[in-house]
Amino acid sequence: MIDARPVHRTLALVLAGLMIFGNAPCAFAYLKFGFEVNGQQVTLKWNRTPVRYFVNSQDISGVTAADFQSAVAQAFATWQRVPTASITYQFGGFTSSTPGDDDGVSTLGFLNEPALDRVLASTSFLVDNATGALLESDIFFNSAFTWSVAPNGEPAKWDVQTIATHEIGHFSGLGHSAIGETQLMNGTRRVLSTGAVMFPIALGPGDISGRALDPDDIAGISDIYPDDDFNARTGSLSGQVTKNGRGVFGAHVVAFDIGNGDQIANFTLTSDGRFSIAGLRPGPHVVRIEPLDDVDTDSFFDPSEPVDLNFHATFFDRLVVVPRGGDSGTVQLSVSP
Amino acid sequence: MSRFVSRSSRVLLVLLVWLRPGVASAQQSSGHRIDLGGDVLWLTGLRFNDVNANETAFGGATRVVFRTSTKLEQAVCPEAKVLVGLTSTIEAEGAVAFGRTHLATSITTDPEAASATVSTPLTLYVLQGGVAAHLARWQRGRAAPFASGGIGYLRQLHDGHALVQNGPSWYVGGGLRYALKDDTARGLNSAALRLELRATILPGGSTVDGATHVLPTVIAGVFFHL
Repeated sequence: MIDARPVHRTLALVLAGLMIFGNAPCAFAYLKFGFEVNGQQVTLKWNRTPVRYFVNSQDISGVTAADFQSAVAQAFATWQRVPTASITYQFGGFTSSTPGDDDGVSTLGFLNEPALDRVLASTSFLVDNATGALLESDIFFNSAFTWSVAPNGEPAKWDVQTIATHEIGHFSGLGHSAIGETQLMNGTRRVLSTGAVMFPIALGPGDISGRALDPDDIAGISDIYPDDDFNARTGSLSGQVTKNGRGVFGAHVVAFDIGNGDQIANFTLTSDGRFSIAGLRPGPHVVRIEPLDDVDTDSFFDPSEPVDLNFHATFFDRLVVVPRGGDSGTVQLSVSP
Repeated sequence: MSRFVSRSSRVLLVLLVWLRPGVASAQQSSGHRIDLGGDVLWLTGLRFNDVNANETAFGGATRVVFRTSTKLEQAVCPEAKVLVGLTSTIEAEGAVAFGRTHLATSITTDPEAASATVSTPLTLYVLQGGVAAHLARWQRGRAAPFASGGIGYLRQLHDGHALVQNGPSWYVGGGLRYALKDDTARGLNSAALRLELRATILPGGSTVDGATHVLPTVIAGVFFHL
């Protein structure tokens, strides 16, 4: 067994953690965690449900363990309510275990980590080396920040349920989504807007909009844990992004549903620029390709990966029709420096 | 679907009841006259509701990343149609049409990417059935006005044969039948022109954006009495 790399929720800019695996096969809805077993990439997921989780019994200033448990239970319920996904969760009780203990108990709780001054919360995994199955996942919330469990949030306090919703996405096997916009101001990157709960940077203290999932999140969790007919009722869009005839690695490709405005995305994850976006509503889609310029590439890729940022955002010149229960066929997308 | 059909039936029933009193001086031919003909069905195009790429800003505010506007471009479809006289003034009609057009989306206001219009070719299949009632009261010489109504099915396929949209439709309209020759004769001696304007109503389940739209439709053709 090994300890998989942790994924961090950031306050502003710095993100730690590897989000994806290199040379992934192309049958994935946006970013999922992967794990290599005997040379094969497998999706990191829970093999048995309901997934039991425990809550650390320690209170912190302003948030009792009971309040904390109630807030995270609502966040778990948000994911469990996705009608096209089959994952379920179960509260196992309070525990004296702390997040990060490799004890086979998935634990959520607070830790005081003032040195991690940009990390609100973090999810870590314990993975079966032989099968790639998730054995344990812990989420720590950084009590160096001020937290709230108020139903409508509180100014200047981070909302436990909002941040928990993001971290439970990781807990369930999802990586970060890049659907969101940021802006550099005085050397710091500020979030303008997000189109997915799994966007790596939180909107700000007091904000509770991240309690609700976006289409990208729903497609992702449904892709990992599909219900009986999710794959039959949805379709995928796949293709290849090239620049000057060569594959582009790390391009962000967004499928925009012209009927309802849903945005679901993925990256080109191979050196020849191939991608696949699953979990799409059948019908015509606009395809937008952009470099990953909104957040640190480290939020999504290993720093050693050759992510290409040197091209202009553009739209594919045709609408792409996603068939029900099938794939669009390879769409050739060309970008220019 | 069943709800839709029953609603359409009610519409047709009302139409028939309203039209029947004026038919005393209508055509002389008997109840089972059959006309066969060819039409050109002109679907004049349809603009769907604009859809924006929205994201959520602090506090739940909406921020628009880009805007899209989508339209089904006009299509001219050859159509085969059969008319069966049910009474001296009421005809049942059935038609099948086929055509090609494009679905086009304009994308604007993206701060990072240039505005663009992207499209995909579509193949349309239209099946329609209904009734037409001749308005004998307003007949003038060889020109006989009529009113029509019915239900249909529109199937839109992408060139790769992926289904873009399909579903029921219904229509109401009216037009003019003009007998070129003796309208009581048969075969080529019975040619008549038929021009019709329709409002083809596409309910939400039959449109890209899920909203009900009205598609103005023009039909012109020639018919022969069998």
